[in-house]
Amino acid sequence: MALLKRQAGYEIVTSPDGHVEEADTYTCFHCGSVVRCKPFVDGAAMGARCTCCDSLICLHCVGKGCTPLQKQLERWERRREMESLR
Amino acid sequence: MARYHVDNRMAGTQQSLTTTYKTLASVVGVTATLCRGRAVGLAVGADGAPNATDCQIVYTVQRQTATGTATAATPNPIVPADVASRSSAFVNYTAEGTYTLPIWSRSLNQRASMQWVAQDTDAMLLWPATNNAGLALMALSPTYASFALGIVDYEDM
Repeated sequence: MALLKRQAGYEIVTSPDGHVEEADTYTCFHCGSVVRCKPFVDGAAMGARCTCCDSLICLHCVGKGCTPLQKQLERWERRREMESLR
Repeated sequence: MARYHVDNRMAGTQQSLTTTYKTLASVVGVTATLCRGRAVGLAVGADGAPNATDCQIVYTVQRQTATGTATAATPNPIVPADVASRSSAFVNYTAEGTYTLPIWSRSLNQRASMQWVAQDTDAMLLWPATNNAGLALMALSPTYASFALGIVDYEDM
């Protein structure tokens, strides 16, 4: 639950009939995608907890190793720097 | 940390939606004032008369690696005393940029609207401190052919 709070977002959808639907979300720590938390759904159906970085990840990132988004950003920045030096 | 607001009503001419993605607004890094950024809130919805036949609009946020043809918009600091944003904002794309990865996607009824907010820092949508790299908010619809509004609230890091 503490993990969910740290990566938590919140979404509000206003339907055409005026019905307001609210849902919790969390942001995948590996790819940065936003996952909607469906009520009464098994957690494994939404994603998983990475035991390396102790964070919630999305289904897409399950089983692909631990590369937190911060690390990926550093790589992208370094790659662009190298390209600009050429 | 200063927060900024950008939406596609701030500059340029809104583009009609088609069956392929039209970028409503994007925020990217620029070499002169390079910094990382993070989106803290998104809001989307139709901005024109609804289609007679009920239909959906698909909204998505994708990582952007190159800008296309768009109108530059000056992001508004949410606190007026804050300095100008170091990131650049572009709205109402007429030629699409280069996108790599969708990180947020929702399909809504054409009459529906939606807001998303990050409650904590790890939930915010980050982009790298790289020239022309950032996030783009876009929309498509198979039937609805009028305008859509996209709002991005973000922070420079």
